[in-house]
Amino acid sequence: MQGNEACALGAVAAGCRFFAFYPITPAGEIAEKMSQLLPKARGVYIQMEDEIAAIGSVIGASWTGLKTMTATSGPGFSLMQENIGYAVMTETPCVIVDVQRAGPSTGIVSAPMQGDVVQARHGSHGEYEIIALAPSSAQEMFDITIRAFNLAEQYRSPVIVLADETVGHMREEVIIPEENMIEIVNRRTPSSAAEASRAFLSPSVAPMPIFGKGFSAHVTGSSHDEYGKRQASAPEAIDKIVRTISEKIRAHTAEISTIQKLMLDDADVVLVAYGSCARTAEYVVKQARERAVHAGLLRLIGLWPFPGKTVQQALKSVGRVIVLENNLGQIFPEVERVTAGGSEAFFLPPETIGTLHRPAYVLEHVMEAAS
Amino acid sequence: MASTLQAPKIVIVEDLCKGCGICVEFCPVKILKLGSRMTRKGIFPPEVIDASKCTACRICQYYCPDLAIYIVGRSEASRS
Amino acid sequence: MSSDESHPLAKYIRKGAQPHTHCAGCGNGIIAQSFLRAVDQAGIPMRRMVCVAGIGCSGWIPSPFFDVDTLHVTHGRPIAFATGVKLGNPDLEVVVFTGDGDCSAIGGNHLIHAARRNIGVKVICVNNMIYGMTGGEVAPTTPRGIKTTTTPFGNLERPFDLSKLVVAAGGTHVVRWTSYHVARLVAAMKKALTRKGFAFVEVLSQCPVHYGRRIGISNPVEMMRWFQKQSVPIEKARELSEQELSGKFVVGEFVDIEAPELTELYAEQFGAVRLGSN
Repeated sequence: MQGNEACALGAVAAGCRFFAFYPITPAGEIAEKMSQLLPKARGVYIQMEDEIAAIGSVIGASWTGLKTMTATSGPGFSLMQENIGYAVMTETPCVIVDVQRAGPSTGIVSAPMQGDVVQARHGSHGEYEIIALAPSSAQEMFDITIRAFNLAEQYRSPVIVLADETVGHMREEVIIPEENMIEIVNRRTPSSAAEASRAFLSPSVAPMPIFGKGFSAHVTGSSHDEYGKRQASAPEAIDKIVRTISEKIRAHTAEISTIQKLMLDDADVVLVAYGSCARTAEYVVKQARERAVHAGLLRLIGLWPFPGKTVQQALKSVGRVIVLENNLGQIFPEVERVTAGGSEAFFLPPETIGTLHRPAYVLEHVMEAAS
Repeated sequence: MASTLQAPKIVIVEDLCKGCGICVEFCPVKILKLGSRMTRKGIFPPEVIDASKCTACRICQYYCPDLAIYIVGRSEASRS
Repeated sequence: MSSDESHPLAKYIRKGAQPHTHCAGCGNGIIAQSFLRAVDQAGIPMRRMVCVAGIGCSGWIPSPFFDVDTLHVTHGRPIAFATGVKLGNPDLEVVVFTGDGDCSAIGGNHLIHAARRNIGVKVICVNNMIYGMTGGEVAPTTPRGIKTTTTPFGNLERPFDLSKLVVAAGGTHVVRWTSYHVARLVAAMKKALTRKGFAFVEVLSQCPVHYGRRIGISNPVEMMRWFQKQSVPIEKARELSEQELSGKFVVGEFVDIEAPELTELYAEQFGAVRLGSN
């Protein structure tokens, strides 16, 4: 099945019961599938008037206790940033799928690019931390979407699924496990009004006082204290918020942002890649091995929070690292930073940005790096 | 027949009053005036000129933007 | 003799939220009280209500003043968030508090679509004809010619008639009053809360500090008398010419029609008695 379709199936399997959307290529198939699946699952599909309303209604619905999602591409992702920041500030679980396409601006609607990576990290204003995962196959569009929901519920945070046009549109075999084989995480909610009115703002994530239970929750994007009371002028309040909601994610970087290792143990040259570029990288590593070159692959599955320690550890005794990205280097600076003083890190975009790397081109560079 | 209704009590919560003067203006029997005593917040809350003339119409209560003035003791239904 | 001498609406006020931060004589306080009176009269339990507030002085009517589930969102977007809340749990009474700038400038798109959808969200729109919170900039509702902080030589643009805008967008219940007309306002809010479907309650409200000052009426009492004097009931307005209505505020019920409400249509189409998992 198609990656986008698998994403929709994954969302519903994870328990998503509200999906709001504004039409944009190449995310349309996710919405079409959701509009067919959700009603049967007693959920709501709604097409809103713009992407800002899509993410806004997703956040509103999350506060009624539902698992909610929206899907978009670059231009819509840009529009959503203000409200994504609102979800961060109010610790609202929700999933945003960005099927990245070539940009900036209208760009090319059906060409792959990985240009929204830095935007996923810092697209909204203010200081904060966020979770972003990069699927690289149709199977992962299913699996990682479920993981995104689980992380959203556990950390009470918006989670971004950073797909790209290639991964969204590719057709591959997808294995759907039995319902009882799928691990589902649900947000904690207070068991009483007394529990709901306790101080929150904890790195260990407070239970969410969803609406309609008599908790009189006061949810605001303004700076507030640990009882939700607006603190419009005290810097101490915003300091506590910024540190707490960032720490709740940063402290669990290794568990949140995982990697996949392929033939790293004896590698002299390692390709670092994510998303659709990782597919090319895997192929090239195998080709290199056939030519007796000790090549390996480090595939990033979690991009943010960037798994610096994990990556540093994995590349500890590697001489040369080549980072493949379909952009001009958005994750590369992170890799370069954590391997500084150790591996030599190089950045390799495709010969034509907006297309996948040509395997022979990458192989040339790998052979050169190995010599 | 003499009225057996109890006299309404006019409650003014000084700490909530912002001295806007709306209650004074809209009282139909003109029994409120801007006070001459300043509260600790620098506000001059209204004073009741003649409580016996209060009809408990509650216009002052309904208009007050701060819920700082209200009538106790005679329900709305008891007004003839 | 009753020993309870607290304000009859005290139970609706969040502890520690008084005094609220509106200016002295601000119409928002009158609107806040009118709303609570309407809720009280309608017998709607606060536990079942969600107030969604935009950014601007109007947003501070429910937030943090009302002791109720409150979602104080980003500028212009309360109606979009509210749509999600209502669809997520149709049993909730969802009320939006928004201002003229919040709902017709940055939020205009969400306003017209909610009206079109007939989603059962009730919008209380406080219209003070200015951007009050940010210091007095011109708004889409500011009359032509007015000198504001950003139209120092006089506003060149025509203003919206917000109620007419919502009528044109298909609003099934549209009503306008002013902060002077409290009795009418409470009744109108009560009606909006207890009927099915979308409701738009526009309330002209005095902003003595940032608007009154600009038009030479900086006293809240004077502004309310001005509302009283300039208001024309809609039944009478229908017989007056555009010229005669210039500078007047047409008040009353513009539209009140029955139409299927969106969450009911969802339930009907998908055979579910109740949406979602709650």
